[in-house]
Amino acid sequence: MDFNPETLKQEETSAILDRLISHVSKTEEELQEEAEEERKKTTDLKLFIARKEGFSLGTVEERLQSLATDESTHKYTRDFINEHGFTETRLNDEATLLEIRTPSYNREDYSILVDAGEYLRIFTTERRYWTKKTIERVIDYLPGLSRLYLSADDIHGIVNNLEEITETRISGFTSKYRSYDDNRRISIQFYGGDENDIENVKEEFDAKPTRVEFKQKNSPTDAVTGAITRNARVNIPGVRAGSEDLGAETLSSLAGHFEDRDHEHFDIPASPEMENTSGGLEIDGFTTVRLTDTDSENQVALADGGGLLHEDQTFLGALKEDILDKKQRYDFTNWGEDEFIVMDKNRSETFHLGIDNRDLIVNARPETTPITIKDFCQIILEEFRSTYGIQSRSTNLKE
Amino acid sequence: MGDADHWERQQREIESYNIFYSAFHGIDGGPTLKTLGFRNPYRFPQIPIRNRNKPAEPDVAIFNGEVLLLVEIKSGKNCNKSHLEQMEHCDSVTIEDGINWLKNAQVTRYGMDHNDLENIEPAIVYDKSRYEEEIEPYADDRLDDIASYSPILSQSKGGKLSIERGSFGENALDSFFADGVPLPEVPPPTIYLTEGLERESLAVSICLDHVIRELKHGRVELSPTDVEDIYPRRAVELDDIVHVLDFLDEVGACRFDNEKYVFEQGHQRNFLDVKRIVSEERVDDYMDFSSDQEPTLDDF
Repeated sequence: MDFNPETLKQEETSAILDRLISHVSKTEEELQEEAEEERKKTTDLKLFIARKEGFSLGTVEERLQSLATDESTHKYTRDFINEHGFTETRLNDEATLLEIRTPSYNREDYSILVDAGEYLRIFTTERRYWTKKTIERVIDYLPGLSRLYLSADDIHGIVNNLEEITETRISGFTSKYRSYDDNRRISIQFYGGDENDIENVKEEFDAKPTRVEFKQKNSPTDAVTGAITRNARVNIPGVRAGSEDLGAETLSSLAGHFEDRDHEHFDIPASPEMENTSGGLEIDGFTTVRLTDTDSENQVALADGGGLLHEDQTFLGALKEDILDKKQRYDFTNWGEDEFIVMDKNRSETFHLGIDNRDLIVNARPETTPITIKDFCQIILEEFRSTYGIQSRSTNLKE
Repeated sequence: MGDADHWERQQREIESYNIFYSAFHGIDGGPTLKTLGFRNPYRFPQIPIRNRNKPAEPDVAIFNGEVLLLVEIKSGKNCNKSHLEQMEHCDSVTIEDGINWLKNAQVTRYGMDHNDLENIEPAIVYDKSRYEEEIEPYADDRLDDIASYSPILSQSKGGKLSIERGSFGENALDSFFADGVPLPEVPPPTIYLTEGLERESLAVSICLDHVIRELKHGRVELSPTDVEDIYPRRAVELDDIVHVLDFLDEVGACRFDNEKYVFEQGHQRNFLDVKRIVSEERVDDYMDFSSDQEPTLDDF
């Protein structure tokens, strides 16, 4: 796609998105050739979604510059910034174009940044090989942005939500299994079967997807193909020519549902903020995020040879050893035997952590923010137990 | 060196408040105190009583627009005579006293009218396992005496807040607390302060409830009077605050500079460590106050 800022300037965001979609729009013949040659004719259209925390469009260059000159910034990050060039151009009220230059390879990578209220949607058609080295690192490094992360059940649900638009089926998935009580690291990649095959495989291996692929129909044929991952990356390899509107709807639905679920899980509508008043001490309320095994009966499928351990002490010990002690990121102090006040050193915030059977309970403290809880959940899902689901509940004491 | 379990006792007390507050949060789909319309609990209130010198000082006061519940929360394994006296005292709060206090507490801010107060209900809450194992078997008569003033409830983490003996003046409350409020296994923390304003919990509370919260905005500077403003007058004394701030200085959680105690990022580890230090040794023992603090008769 042509990323000339002069062409894109003053265009409506929807028109810019149409351009992005037309990049992956393919005729019947092209789609057939792709299938026959097993080779894609275009790069995928990609969307990354991040939560904003004081970030605003038009500040990317400035933010990166101040990161690069801040001595407390990790050398790795500073080197990255110094080895690249960045230009952010305003396209309209809600979108900018970000050019990332990599002089050592004599290349430019382009992304479109679209403001979505509390979130930022980042579109690009660059190859994943390069997005990993450019825009995804910028998202990671930029202060005030944090990429979303959801559970396996969530991304499964988000694909199911596409039924609202049109008939959708899951055409494959990738699952990476990991648990504190199991030395095995299991990866499953499954494609090509029908719905039943997929269900069978998932049940057999207690597979929780880290990536889900889907195909949407615009009768009678497949119109939009795509995939989403837990860490809020959407890939659209192809949209059938004539179904571009469906493609746009799909992108907007996926992004909207990612954002809704992030809100649902990680917002902190009430925390135990205290205030000394004429009546005594008043406390605002509570928010509890629970990481829970939704279908634990399937765990037995892994018991053979997996060395499944069952004592609570093991669970608690693993939590301390693998996460709280091992991660440089956290400091903690015990509160009772199995509760902790955990400090996230990166973010200078604490939260309260407890266990209920094999569930992890995270209670917000007054200063805890959504991103701190999201980051902790991500670390737990990736390094402690990949099968947890996320539930959140809040009580406002004042209403 | 004081009682060996000085911290365990304070932690239990703090925990007991958290468990009670968790009755507002409940468990997924279960009833909570909000089901009865109760909201905005007041910790450590002082409710003046006409014709009595001392105000009523329950641990928590909660109002639902009609009923004012005065709750005394116990974490220990004894049922003292003082419990009876406290409940008698709470029971003597009149409707007028209640209305005046609610007005002063500005419950109108939360959409309630102090003039709608219909009924005042004292209640005492014990720890479930201690109640069953160590209180009920040995203090049957006293419990009956207390029950003449207020119902006796019990609570436990992952269990219920429910009535054990006696009754409220209102059937609706009785039937609600007969079924009880299911409580979460991990009650959310509220504040880390005991009613007896012990210096250990005050040290922990200053760090966890205040400094850590503020620290993400940079450094925190506190004078003793700043700290005084954070807590209800009933809960803390200036004298204790000064001792505790000096202690925090001594353990490296802050430094004294130009009349202020300065807490800085980079010392977070030390704030978290305060809990461990006070659990091993009392603040006064750590500071060795006995030798250079208040002079005793022996000094003369």
